[in-house]
Amino acid sequence: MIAISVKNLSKNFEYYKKVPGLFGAFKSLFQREKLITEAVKSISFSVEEGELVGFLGPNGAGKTTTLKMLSGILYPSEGDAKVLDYTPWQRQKEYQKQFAIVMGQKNQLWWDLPAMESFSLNKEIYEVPNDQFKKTIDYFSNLLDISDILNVQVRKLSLGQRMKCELVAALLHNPKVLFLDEPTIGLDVVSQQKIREFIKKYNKERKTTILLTSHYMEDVVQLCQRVIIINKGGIIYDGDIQRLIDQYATHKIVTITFKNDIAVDQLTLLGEIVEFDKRRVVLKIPDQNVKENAVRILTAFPVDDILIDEIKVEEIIRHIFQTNK
Amino acid sequence: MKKYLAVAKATWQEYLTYRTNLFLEVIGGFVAQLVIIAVWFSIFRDLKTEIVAGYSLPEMITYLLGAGIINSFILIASQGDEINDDINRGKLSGFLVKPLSVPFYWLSRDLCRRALTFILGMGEYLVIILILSNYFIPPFSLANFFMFCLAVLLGGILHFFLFYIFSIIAFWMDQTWGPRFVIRVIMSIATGSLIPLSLFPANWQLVFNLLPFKFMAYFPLQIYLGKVSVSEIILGFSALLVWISALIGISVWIWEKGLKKYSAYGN
Repeated sequence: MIAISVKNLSKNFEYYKKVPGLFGAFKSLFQREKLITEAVKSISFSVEEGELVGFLGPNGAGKTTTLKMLSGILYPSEGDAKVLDYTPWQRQKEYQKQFAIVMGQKNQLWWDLPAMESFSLNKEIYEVPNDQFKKTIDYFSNLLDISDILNVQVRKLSLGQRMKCELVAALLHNPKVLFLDEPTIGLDVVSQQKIREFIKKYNKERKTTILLTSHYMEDVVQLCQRVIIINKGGIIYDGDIQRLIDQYATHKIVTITFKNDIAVDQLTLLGEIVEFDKRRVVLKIPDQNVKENAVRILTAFPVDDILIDEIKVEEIIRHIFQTNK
Repeated sequence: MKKYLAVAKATWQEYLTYRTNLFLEVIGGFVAQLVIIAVWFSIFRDLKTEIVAGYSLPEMITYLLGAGIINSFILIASQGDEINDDINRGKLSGFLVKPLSVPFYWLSRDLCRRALTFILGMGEYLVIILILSNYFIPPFSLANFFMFCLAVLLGGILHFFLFYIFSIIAFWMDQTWGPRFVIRVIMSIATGSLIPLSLFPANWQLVFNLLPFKFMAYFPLQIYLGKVSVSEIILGFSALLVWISALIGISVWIWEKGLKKYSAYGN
């Protein structure tokens, strides 16, 4: 069953050009220049029930705008979208009870109260029955290891603890569809990993449809099989993340450390030099030549150490964004 | 309904963490009102009269004490700031995705805060009423007392919607503090909480009668002291209800328009 379907969805923002200075401000009272930004340009995609899809793109690509339209915060300029057969921007209560959005940069928890109070409030707002509420809190407390911070003022929590509580607050009503907008932003590596593990497990156990945006590659690589890459408002890739890697990863990265100083011109024939630092060199070598060139390096140079790596997914994505300007 | 009670409960707890702030806010108004009371004492003493503009000294003192208590219910310096900020900083987005009416959410929070400052104000003024008990007049009648309470409550709702309208203008303006400040300045005179409105020149009274502010302090206190006839009370309540309905109507209209703009532009 299809949970989210988006057809030719567009969003334009109109705004007026601000002229700097007092004179400019005065002038703009009478004459204003209207500008239009196309934040999202006619995108289409659909997501199956239970799927966990990564929405990837640089800042300003249109990820958040899309999620805002799907949660009914923004009206689209054109096009249509259905989530669980509801039109999001009609903001029907039946729909609102079945989805949740977590925005990494905004919090819904009450700052001056313990997280538990915000949970109780959400329990009433979403009309969650008592026993289900208790069970859910227990389940999350264990899974996220937060039982000891539930009664601490939110303002006193660390960013990682707060994000865990934000997730719980959003999931109390057991939503069928979950939008995660940069859920790991600003977190340290350990906290990021914990949030990721949680999302993965939750998706598997509850079969919740999740649309996740991030500009951290790791989030997407670890969590999602399918990735939608968006740049400048348009979708530039939609499909299996492994296929994307296979398609673009035509080279390997070979890092060599030498015992003595080496002159750079000796290496140019072997591959594209990415980095060079007397005794250490990073080469980009086409897949089919890797074996042969590695042997040549090992025999011709005083090699201390040699490392052969796949191209990082980040590199691939960066490449895609750059060629799509 | 249960949702909004839960909002009120959480708000109550939130304000209790700021109790010092609340207390100071109420104390500030309290001190100002005491100064006014002292001024009237000396006016009556210097003029050596029993009655000033239809008020005896005890009536005037009771009027001012009552106005002080009402002020703790309606004179809140930051009235509307939160709504303004919720809209401008985009916190509204977080509310819009929930099965919740946002205006009712704000109203619940507002009534909750009013109740708290009111309780604090009551505490302070009860002490003064005990000290000045020789000058304090009980309500004109039990019926008048109930009508007084009702008028105060409706005056508070009128006050909420007035500031609410000038807060949700935030959909179009970055800061709505200015207009709200102007209303507060007008209010400090036009509610009659410092000086009974009947003491003003006739022209001024004409203006005050056209404004809604007199319903917030002057009108309920006139009922309390029994200085208005039954027909005037009925007329007053009708006008009060018309004002409230009109403001609710306008606020709903602006809210819908604003929400459309918010959904179009985002924040």
